[in-house]
Amino acid sequence: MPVQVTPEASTVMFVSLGIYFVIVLIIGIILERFVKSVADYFLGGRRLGPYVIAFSERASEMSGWVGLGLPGEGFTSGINATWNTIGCFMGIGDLGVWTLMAKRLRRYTEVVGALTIPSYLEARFNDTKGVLRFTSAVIIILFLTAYVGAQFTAAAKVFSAIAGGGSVTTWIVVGAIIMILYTVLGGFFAVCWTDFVQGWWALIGLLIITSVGLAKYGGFGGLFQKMAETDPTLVNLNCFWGYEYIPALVLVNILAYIAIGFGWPGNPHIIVRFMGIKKVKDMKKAAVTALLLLLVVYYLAQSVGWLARVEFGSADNLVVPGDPEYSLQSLAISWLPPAAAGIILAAPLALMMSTADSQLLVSASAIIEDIYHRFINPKAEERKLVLWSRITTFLLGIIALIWALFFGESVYLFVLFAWGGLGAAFGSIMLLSLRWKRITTTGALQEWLLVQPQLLFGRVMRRD
Amino acid sequence: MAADATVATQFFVIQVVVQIIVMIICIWLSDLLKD
Repeated sequence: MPVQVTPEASTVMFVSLGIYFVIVLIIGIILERFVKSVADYFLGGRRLGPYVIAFSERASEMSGWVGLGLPGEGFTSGINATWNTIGCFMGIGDLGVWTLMAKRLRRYTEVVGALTIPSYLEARFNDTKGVLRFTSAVIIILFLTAYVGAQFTAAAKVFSAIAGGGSVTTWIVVGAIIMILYTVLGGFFAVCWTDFVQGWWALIGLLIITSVGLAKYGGFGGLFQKMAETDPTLVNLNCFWGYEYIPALVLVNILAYIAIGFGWPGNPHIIVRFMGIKKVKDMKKAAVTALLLLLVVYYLAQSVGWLARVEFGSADNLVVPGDPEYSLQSLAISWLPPAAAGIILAAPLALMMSTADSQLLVSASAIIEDIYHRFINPKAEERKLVLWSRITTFLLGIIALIWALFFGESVYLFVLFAWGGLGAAFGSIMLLSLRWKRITTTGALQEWLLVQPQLLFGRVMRRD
Repeated sequence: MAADATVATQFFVIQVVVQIIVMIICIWLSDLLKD
C-alpha cells in the first residue's frame, strides 16, 4: 500500500516549507546592501570565512542528485551504492580539488585580478586575443543553464509529492521564482551565506530522519541484517541494482562509480568557491570542514535509501509508486508529524536551491565579466556592471525555467550531460594549469576541439 | 545471508576509516599546511 498524504498534512508541510523559504529570502535581502562592486557580486569581495566557504562549496555541489538521487541509488543498489561516495571523495573528487587546486587558484586569481574561471584561464595562458576566455564562457553558459533547469524540475517533484501528486508545472515556476529572486538580490555574498544555512539544514534534516531509522532498526549492523532479509542482493558485494555480476564486470561498475569524481575539477560553480575565501591560510580549515561534510551527508543520504528499502520493501509502496527517488519524502511523511516532515523535506530543496543559485551566478559572470566587460564595453562603470549582472542573472534564470517547463523530465538527463561536459571541458585544463608549467593555449584548445564534439555527438546519439 | 550482512557492515566501517586516513595523509602532503 503506497504512502498516502492527507490534505491537512499537505497544508502543514507547505507552511513549514514556506517558513524556510522566507528565512532564505530575508537573508538574501539583508545581504543585498553589501554589494557595491562587480567583485562583491561575483566573489563576495573575497572576504568570506573558511566555514562559510566550506559549506558553500559543499552546498553548491550537493544538488538534487544528493537529496533524491543518492537515496534512490541506496534503495536499489544497497551497500554497493557507497562506491559512489568513494569516487566522489577520492577519485580526483573533492579531496583532489581541495588539496591540489584550492590554494593555488585562490592565490593566482587574486594576483591577476581574475573574478571568473574564464578570466583566470586568459591570464594563466597569456591569451591576449581572448579566445580561451570567450570559448570557456560559452561552454559554461551552455551547460550550466540546463543544469539549473534540472534543479527547478527536481524541486518541483518534491513539491508535487507533498501535494500528493498532480502537475509539476506550477511548482517549477514557484521554485524558480524563489531561487532567481534571492540570487539576483544578493549575488555571491548572499549565495554563500544562504548556502551555509542550507548546508546545515540539509545536514540536520538527513541526520534526524536517519537517526529515527537507525534507532528503529538497531544501528547499521541491524539495518544491514534487515536489508539481507528484505533482499540478499542489497548486502552482496558482487550485486549492483539487484543483479549479480562476474568479477570483471564488478570492477567495471566500481570504476564507473569512481569516474563520477573526475568531473569535480571542471565544474566552475564548485571551484569558484575557493576564490572567495578571505585568508589563504584558512584554506585548510575550509578543506577539512568541507571534506568531512561530504562524507557525512553522502552516507546519510545513502542510509535514507537503505532505510526506505527495509521499511517499504518495494518502490511500489513509496509516496509516488515505482520511483526510488521518493525514498526521503516517503520516510519523512510516514515517520514524522507533518510539521516536522515539512522541515525535513526542506533539506533536499536546500540542496537543489544552493546548487541552482551558484550555477546562475557563474553563468551570469560568464556573460558580464567574460563577454560584455571583456569584449563589448571594457570601460563600463562598476555600478552599471552590477546592475547588468543582476539583469543577466534574472534572464538566465528565465532561460533555465523555460528549459525546465518545456523539457520537463528529460531535463534531468542534462544533469549528467552538464556534469560530464564541464568536467571534460575544464577538469584537466584547470588541474594541469595549476600544477604543470608546460601546458599551452594550443593544448587547451585542442582538448576542447577533441572532447566537446564527442560529448555533443554522444548526446545526440543517445537521444536517437 | 547473515554472513553477507556481516561482510557489508565490515566493508562500510573499513571504507569510512580508510577515507578519513587518506584525507589526513593528503592534506598533510599537500600545500594546505604551508603558509
